[in-house]
Amino acid sequence: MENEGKVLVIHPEKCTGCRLCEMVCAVRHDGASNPARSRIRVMKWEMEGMYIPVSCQQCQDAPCMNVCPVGAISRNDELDTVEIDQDKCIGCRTCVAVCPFGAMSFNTTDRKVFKCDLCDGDPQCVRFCEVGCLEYIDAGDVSILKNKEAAAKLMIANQKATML
Amino acid sequence: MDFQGFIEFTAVKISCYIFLGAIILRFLFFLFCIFVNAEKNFWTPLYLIKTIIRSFFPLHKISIKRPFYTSIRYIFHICLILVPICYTGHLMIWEALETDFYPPELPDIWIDRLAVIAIFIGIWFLIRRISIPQIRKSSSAFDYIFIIIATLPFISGYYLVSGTPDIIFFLDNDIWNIHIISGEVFILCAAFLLCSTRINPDKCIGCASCELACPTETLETIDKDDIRTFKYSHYQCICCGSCINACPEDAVELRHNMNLLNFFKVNIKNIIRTAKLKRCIRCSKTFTPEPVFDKVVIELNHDYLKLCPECRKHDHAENFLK
Repeated sequence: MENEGKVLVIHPEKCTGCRLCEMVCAVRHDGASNPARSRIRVMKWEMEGMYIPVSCQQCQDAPCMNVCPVGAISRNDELDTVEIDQDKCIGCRTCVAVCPFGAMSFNTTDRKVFKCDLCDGDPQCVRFCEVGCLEYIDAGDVSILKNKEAAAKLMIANQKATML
Repeated sequence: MDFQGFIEFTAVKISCYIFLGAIILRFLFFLFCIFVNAEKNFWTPLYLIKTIIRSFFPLHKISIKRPFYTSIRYIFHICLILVPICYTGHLMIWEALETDFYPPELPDIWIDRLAVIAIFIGIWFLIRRISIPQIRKSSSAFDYIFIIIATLPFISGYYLVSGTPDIIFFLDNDIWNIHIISGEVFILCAAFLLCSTRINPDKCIGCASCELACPTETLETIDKDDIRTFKYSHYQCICCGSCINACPEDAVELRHNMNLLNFFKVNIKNIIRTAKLKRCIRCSKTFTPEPVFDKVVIELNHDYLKLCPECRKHDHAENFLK
């Protein structure tokens, strides 16, 4: 089977809201344990007990890529990511204004934008996520997972139907 | 005193003294600006030396990027300074000023060469300004006049020394006067000429890339309430052109201009542009300038664009919940 590229998969139901991924990400990229510098952010609903990590989706037709006036954002086919050329970036923040997921952030000290780059193929957030909420798997496997989920739901529904 | 005597002695003297005074004043203003600005930095003398070096030598990214234009610009300005000061025939000016100071002299053949170079570069500047539509559109009458004022003393001076072109023989007696008057005007202009950045409000989208690119913190932006103001002080500016290079919309211009009011505005940051900021419809924080927003809306029209990045993350996560 040919390699379809790997993707970062988030299972929100498994997240405990420990925010270790944020720390690891900030330390890996900026050398400071400052969650504000993290590429991945955990959205919390403490009352409901829901924690959902949000990160760059590496869109195929990325709006940030289309809108960049200097062409600093491009697709990396090898890793299947959208990457920023920091030397070309002028810091106009148009990509921050256009990103549908709010995944693009601006660093005021370096004066450049930043987003998830999947740590060049070895995402540290995945490595440190103990509960297995984050996974870095082949794109083909994602659809298999989804198929399994759908099949399981169907099976439960079938069982319920036979019980009735 | 007759007209001839006035332009040959009194006017020369007055313009030279005004020039000297203005140059000294400018240097003091420049130092003052650097000292005020250097408060934020750790080691003031280093910052001072760095800034002085940066303002006189082409060491910026942009100068290296456009080596031809930068070298032409520097050669032109070196000619403008060297030729009038080091020419042996100008000894009478120094005598008229009644100072003991005499500048170093260059051999006449070198002065001739430099003058010819200056004339050709001046003409090249003029042709470039007329022929490239992008530059022509943004030029005002002043830009042409300044180039002509700068080259006229050189053309007339070269004619006076070598006298070769016979086409302008009818000006024979007047060329001396033209040389002196144009030289005086040139000196007075040079004394009060400021090179400063201008932002074209029709093109600018308020993204503040120019501020980020500025190596001297001359350009400043302040986001207060929902207005972003761009501030600029020309004595701090080293005219490197980094802002022009950074601007995604070609809205920044670096231009010679003469404004006596601005000349005395020392270390006052003039507001050169204001842009309105967009507020998030959910948390009502400002997050992006309105022109950027308008540009993005044309690209793709979605409701999420009205949210700030932080609220977008929440929005996206909420979709997950459903």
